[in-house]
Amino acid sequence: MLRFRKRKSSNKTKMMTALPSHVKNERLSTDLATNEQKLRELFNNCSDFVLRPVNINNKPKMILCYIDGLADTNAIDMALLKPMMFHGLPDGLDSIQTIGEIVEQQLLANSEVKTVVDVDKLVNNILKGELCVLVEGEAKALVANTLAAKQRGIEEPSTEPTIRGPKDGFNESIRTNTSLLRKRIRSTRLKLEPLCIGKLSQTDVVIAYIEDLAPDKLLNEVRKRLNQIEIDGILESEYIEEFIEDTTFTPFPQIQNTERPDIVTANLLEGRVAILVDNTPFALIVPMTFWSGLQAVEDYYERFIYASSLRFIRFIMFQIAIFLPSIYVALTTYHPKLIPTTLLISIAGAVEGVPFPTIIEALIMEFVFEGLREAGIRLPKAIGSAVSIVGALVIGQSAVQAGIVSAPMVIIVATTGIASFTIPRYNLGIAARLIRFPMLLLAGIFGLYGIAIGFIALIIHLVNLRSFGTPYLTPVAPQIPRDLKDVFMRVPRWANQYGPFFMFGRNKERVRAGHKADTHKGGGKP
Amino acid sequence: MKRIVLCFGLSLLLFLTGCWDRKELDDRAIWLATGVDVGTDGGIEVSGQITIPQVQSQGVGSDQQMTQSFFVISAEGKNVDDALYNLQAKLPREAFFGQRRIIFLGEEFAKRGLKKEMDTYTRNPEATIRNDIFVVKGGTAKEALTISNPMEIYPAAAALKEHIESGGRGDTAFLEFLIAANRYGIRPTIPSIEITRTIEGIDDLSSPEVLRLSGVGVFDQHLKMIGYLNAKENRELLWVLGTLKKAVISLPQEEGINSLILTKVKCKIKPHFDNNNEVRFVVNLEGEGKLQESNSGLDMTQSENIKLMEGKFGEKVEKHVQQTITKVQQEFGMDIFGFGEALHRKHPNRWKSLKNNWDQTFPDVNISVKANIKIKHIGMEGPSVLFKESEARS
Repeated sequence: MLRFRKRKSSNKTKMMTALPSHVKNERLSTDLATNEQKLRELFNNCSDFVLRPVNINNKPKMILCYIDGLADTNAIDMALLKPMMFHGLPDGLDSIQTIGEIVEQQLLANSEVKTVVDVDKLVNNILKGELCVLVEGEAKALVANTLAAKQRGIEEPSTEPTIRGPKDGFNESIRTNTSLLRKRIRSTRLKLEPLCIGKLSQTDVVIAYIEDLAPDKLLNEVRKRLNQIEIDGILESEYIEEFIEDTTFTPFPQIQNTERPDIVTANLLEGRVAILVDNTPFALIVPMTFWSGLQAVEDYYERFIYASSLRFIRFIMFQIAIFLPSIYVALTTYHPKLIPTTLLISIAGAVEGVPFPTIIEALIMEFVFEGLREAGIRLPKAIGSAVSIVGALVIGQSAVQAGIVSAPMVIIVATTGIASFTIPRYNLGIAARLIRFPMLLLAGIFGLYGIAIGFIALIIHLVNLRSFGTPYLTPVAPQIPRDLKDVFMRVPRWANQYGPFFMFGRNKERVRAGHKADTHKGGGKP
Repeated sequence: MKRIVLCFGLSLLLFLTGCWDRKELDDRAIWLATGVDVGTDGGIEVSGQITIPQVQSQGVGSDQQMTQSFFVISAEGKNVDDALYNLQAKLPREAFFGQRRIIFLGEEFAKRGLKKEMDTYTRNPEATIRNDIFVVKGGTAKEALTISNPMEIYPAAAALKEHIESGGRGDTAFLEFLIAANRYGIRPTIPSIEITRTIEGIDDLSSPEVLRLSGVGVFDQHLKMIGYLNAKENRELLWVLGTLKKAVISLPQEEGINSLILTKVKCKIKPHFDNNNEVRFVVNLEGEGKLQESNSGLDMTQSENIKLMEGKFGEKVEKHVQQTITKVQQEFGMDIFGFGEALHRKHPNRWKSLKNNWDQTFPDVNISVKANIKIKHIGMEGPSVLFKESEARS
């Protein structure tokens, strides 16, 4: 196996930071002109930076500055400029009161105002989209929250649709996203620890967890791993995922990602930790187990019989997605004895005259199928459907008629494709798709023996994986019988008294035992 | 680095597993049934029924004349494998025996003895022992292989299905033959089949040739066939052996004939020693079933009538089975019913002294038959509706 050694960052290389180094630790001066000069220097060539000097009633000058587009200019007008320009500065309560204090306490009609004395903090706040007010003669600045960056509304998550269940999804604003969580858990125990990652991009990251539910060990591990990240910018939560995941060389995702606030909340309630990243609707959830990759949201929003049976189908389909083409190849080329006679004869009839060996045929078809799927995703929606229709027609119909590909192979590949679509987590689905190819090769070279070898290797690999210290196959291996209530099936909610043992130990009840409503037949009886 | 070498080394082990039997389906000839006949110069002739998959793939909807989807090929040799080797010279694809379900034995071949001919069917790992096996009565195996069946695309399947549907041994026949060949207390039997026409008595195209189960061939200790039992006797044999799955028994009942279809059939053989220290057997036959036909006008809703019928059916079964056993004892002297095995299980020590001359002992052993028949369903009516109320007897 390849081993990438972590290089200690040498002194020669230098990472670009958000602000020039000399700004650090610099304080604002009392001289407004100096401050203005400094800001203009820093924001040189930034066309979206607005610096507006205000001079009213011969009172000391003021400067308003903000980033156009990030700050809400309307709010600035209404809250500060209008009252100031129409009515002038109110008189101070007494002479000691500075202009700044007057502005802060009486004039700035904004809910969130704070004072900043450092230049770098001031600049950071401006960059976030807040309004800054600098006043002549004072070595501090007022910062008012006027954030109004353009953002997408809260829409149904396109990657994880449900039939039943909430339809709201995260959007690109981290504040909106945390609010969706807070709306679901109205408790001070829901903690949202802020972090800033990305030397240049200064991206907001929030660690969300429920106090006393999330194990300290896990929390510390998350904090530690996040704090070690040194990168210029974060554009998506995957940037973080790659830094903090346990094993890089595996097709299996060890960190769950989701667009759905309800999934995040459910996981928080089970003691997991979520990592929200600004500018992306995808939140990360750690630790992830293999089984959570096979659980759809809807499992929890439908009656348990329905949910359990669907989960069973999904589990079978996952295996079909990995093994079906290889089993077909192995059976037809190595062990035709194992196929029922009539089926074998019809397969033999269909295979007749196909020029390629079965294994090559399977590889070609799988490859083309993956290509089609990729084309369908990348193309604009309008063309995407056309591609899939053409693809299905070309491959399904013409190839069989031309005798290049056998009909059973098309059926096998199509079934496999459908099976891989049933996996609720897209990235686990990709894992299944990738593993299919080595399995196919093994089946083509060694038959069922090869599939057995591949299966054993796969299992060994899976039990070796960890996600933030949790074995990947928990609670099946290591086995925790209590937690099996929510793995292959989902027992009714009232029957699953405790949360996952592997997350938060023995004594945390989630449901008071036996508290299902009494449902005597003919309920009217006293 | 060490790990890479280790992984590489371990993966090399995968290649050390021996047989590498990859073969594409279109390089295999799917062999459905084998026929074995006597060849010239004391050799044997092996013939095979092989599918033609192309015909299958054309589908039913095509306008083409329905062509046969199988063909028969044969070759001679010193033994089975030698013949197969000679046969391969005529066959463009490798013969694949994994799906073979039926072995036909020519009558002459069966009479010559199977002991020194059949080893390859159990030694070859590709061949299954879940096979049906037939002796072709009054014919050769290759004839039987060429006869197509109007219902089945592959006639070999037809013979097997007939066998299963009529409550016989089906695809365990070969296994049972092997077991019997290997024991002292039972002599092997192989079901027999004969060539006939769908409409008996008409010999033209409207009445194609088909295969019909005709009974069973009886073998001696050297695995040579010494004679046949007919279909009825075969059924009774299977009942005593305990492998019968269903049977119809009919009984002349005064003016009409009653028929009972038995669906639960059992048999227990109880050996014991009498005062002279001679072995005796009691055969307890049990059967449960429903009344299929009652032409006698008896009102079957009356439980006395049911009892009466049960008794009569029982008597009839006892009589017939007794006859068959006596016939086998006298005519063949071979214990094809497995009485010796029953004795072996019950008195293993005494069996030791008996087993070596069981063939001499068996013809004179006293065997009595008891039958217990139960009618579980009487069908849709009491007396037959063809009888007026006054004619019906209660």
